[in-house]
Amino acid sequence: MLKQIKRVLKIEIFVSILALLILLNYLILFINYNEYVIKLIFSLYIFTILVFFVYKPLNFFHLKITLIILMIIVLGNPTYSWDAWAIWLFHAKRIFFEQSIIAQLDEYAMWTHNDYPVIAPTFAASLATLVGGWNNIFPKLAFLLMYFPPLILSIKIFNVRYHLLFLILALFILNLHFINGYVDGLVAIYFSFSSYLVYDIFVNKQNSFYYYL
Amino acid sequence: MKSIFKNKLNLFLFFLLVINLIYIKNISYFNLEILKNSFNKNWIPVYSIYRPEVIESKYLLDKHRINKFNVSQKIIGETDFDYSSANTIKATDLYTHFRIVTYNYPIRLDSQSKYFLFFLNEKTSEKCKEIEKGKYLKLLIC
Repeated sequence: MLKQIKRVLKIEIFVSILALLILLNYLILFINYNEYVIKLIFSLYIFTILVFFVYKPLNFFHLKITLIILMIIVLGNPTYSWDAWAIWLFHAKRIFFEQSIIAQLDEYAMWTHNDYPVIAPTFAASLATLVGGWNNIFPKLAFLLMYFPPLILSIKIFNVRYHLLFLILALFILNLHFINGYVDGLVAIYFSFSSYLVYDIFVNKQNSFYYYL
Repeated sequence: MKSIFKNKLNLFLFFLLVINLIYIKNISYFNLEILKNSFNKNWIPVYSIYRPEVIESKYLLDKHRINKFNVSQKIIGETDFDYSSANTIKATDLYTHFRIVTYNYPIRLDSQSKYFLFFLNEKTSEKCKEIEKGKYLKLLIC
């Protein structure tokens, strides 16, 4: 029992740190584009993910191998989807080059839907800041990295068998959305997990600290 | 990991998961050359952009250090249509126009700019002076 509580707590800590860093990155860019702070936040994000992968590497092996393979597929795929290059990555590119989260509010290229939310493009722009340049391929990796908190949280919800089933269904339903630079899959995953957390807080009366993130 | 391999059903599900990942890899346009160059800032994304005119536009603008440019009406393509449909946009030649704008950023499209990109076979005004001719486009000052 104690072992199970410890396991759950560790997952909650990982998810909390990752979710906090995504929000913190967004907040920092909103206040001021400070290159060093952005690099620090993104490095911490990558470090946390590395700890998750390296700490007892055979635990949640199926999830880890899935995420690694998806990362390789993302980096080996061209950015050909319309919404990816015309909207999400273009917004990220604008944030990166203008060094401002409100870069797209100058009414340039209106057909790129300048009114769309920028949390995902901001994260991609931060990755470009960490790398120190821009190309068409690697910023998509940031979108995949944003999938990590809910996918890691899913370990806590399901046992191994159902978690395998969950991953199979998620990959089957979302498939290319994981890798083509769209954020539709991100919205779907975050909406599903938000619904689950609302259920857990208000119906199951769970009140773990990380739920309020 | 033990819990996966000690149970046949879990092992089967793990096998299905791997099949799913291979399926995603196969339906995508995965290419090892892209993977090798994924962090290369100077790599030209030839697999991402399927119109060579777009790639050439960056070459021309970069070569002449132009930071604001304009494009011909033929590159702009059809106007007054439904922008909400990606299929409509794809059917017209707006791909070239939109891709030139996004790919060349931070070099901006500016209707006041005197530097014009034209398709190579387009007729141009006599007032315009040709700066450089590429394989698909020409750069003019008007």
